[in-house]
Amino acid sequence: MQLDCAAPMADQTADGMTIDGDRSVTARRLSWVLIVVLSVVVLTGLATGSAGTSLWQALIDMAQGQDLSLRDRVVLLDIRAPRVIMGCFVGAALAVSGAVLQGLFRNPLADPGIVGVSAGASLGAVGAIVLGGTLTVAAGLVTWLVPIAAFLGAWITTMLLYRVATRRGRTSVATMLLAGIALTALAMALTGILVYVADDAQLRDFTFWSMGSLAGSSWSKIIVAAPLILIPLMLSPFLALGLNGLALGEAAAGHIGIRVQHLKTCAILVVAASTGAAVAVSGGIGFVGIVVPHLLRLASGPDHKYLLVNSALLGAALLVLADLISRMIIAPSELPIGIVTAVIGAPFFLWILLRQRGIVDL
Amino acid sequence: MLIVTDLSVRLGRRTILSNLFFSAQPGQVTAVVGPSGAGKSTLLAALTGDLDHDGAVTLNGRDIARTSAAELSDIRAVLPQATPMSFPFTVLEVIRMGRMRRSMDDRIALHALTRVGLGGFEGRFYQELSGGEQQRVQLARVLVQVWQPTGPAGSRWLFLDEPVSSLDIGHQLQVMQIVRDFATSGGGVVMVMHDLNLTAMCADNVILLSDGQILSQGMPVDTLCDDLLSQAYGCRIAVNCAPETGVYLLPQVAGL
Repeated sequence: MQLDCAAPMADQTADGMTIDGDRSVTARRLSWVLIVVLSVVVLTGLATGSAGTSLWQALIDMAQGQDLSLRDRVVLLDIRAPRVIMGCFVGAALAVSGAVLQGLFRNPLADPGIVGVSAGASLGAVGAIVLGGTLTVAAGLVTWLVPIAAFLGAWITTMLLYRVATRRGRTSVATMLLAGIALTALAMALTGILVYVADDAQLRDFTFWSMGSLAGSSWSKIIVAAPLILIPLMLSPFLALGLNGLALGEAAAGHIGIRVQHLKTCAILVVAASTGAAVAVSGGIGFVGIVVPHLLRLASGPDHKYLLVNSALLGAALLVLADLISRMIIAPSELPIGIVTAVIGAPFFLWILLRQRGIVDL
Repeated sequence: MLIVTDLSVRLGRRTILSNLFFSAQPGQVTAVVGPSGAGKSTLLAALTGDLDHDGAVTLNGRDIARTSAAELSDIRAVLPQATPMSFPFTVLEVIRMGRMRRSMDDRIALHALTRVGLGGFEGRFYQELSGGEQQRVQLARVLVQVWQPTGPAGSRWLFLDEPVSSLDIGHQLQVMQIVRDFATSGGGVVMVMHDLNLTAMCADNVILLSDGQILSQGMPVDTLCDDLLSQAYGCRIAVNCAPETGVYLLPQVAGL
């Protein structure tokens, strides 16, 4: 056997030439395209709204040294800007959570909604809405209560899931999925009880929250959500190599040198924190976590080194765009963003399922 | 050197392997044979650190239970029986995973692919390949991981679980040649085998398992004999006997 590393095969890999099957160049180009797309969507989000304030006019005024009118300042800086930034945060958090969970479960259909993380977060949030009303809390704490309760809900669910599914340091994916189904049922039942005891005003709050909306975005909510979303997002690239290896199966991932248990613990924490925060500030926004990574895998392959970053970018762009649609389509009234993502996402999800069964091949 | 001392494996209340002692030398091909359910794959899983076990397994002088996954990955690579993958990776991307902890020149990946007879397949989707082709792509990935049969920490090892089970005779011979070459260059090979002819032809050392115990171990000429094989497999087996009529073929007289 010729085992010399420097075997003369230079003609196939001359510098600058892409080998067949290497999609890293495509994926890197896609990152740049997505950065441009996200920038355009963010600027459009800032420039568009039912109030009719023009971003361009405001910029021109500022360039000419004029002060913004109070109305423009409020519309641009206190209403549109936090909303667009929150859209970026939530979209990126949901898409990356989806990509990480899919890598962890080696299943393209895994989603925080499936393993009970979202249900746990919802339970926490609803608990805060319903029970929080009965407590006497300082007004400043109310903003913090829902996101923190949702994060705790997501985290407790994930920990329970982990305890149930892990035996002697090894996690069974099948047990974890089954436990996720049971935990979702339990969390939904408990949420149902809370809704049953809620009064009319709480019920209204809950209904709007559960349909998903970025309407209540404010700088104070961003300050609460930012660490819970940004820290996991920045840590997620460190999971990329491990998630790639995990595609071979848990045992084989260990054989190529990955600390599998460590990887799983980190992945679960990343998912719990970012999903908890995203669910708390935006309610039930579905399908971003499934649709975004799937689209990107079709475009540039499943390599997590690029998939996670590109998911964050595309998730952010899609959610800001969906939010734009939700507030412009029936302006000055608003459609909950969860309805927009579901109307686009649900048919897409069904198409994925049909395509996987080989019934339609588009 | 691989040294196994008093190895037992229990799954639940069932004892799958009990009190095994053996060793395998680098530079040699060691084959584990035995009937289905004898514990061959369990033994391989214990040797690679996938299963909790009693007793000790040392590889190049290190207790594998106390060696990190990263260190072990530098000295041994493992080929599972089958590796289904759920995402649409290309063949090149799969082979690169063999070297994900170290930087790799893609020329090695292409070289390994040619070695397993799949030159030109680097751009194909792994999921679209046949079972036998997938098995050979995984073999290329495993070869890339231990590309040099010897390294600073001594010999490198290949652990293969039925590497030829889904291959045709031509590719079986090709894989056996790769295995032999790896051992000749100083590496160690431990493989689970079903095909006794190929085992007789390729292995230096045979471990015959039956009911979780070693029935016999040694050179093929000593272990692959009528009584031991008949006892292990529960049927009448006669080695080196040609049938009087009919057609038969042996890999020993086939060539690449």
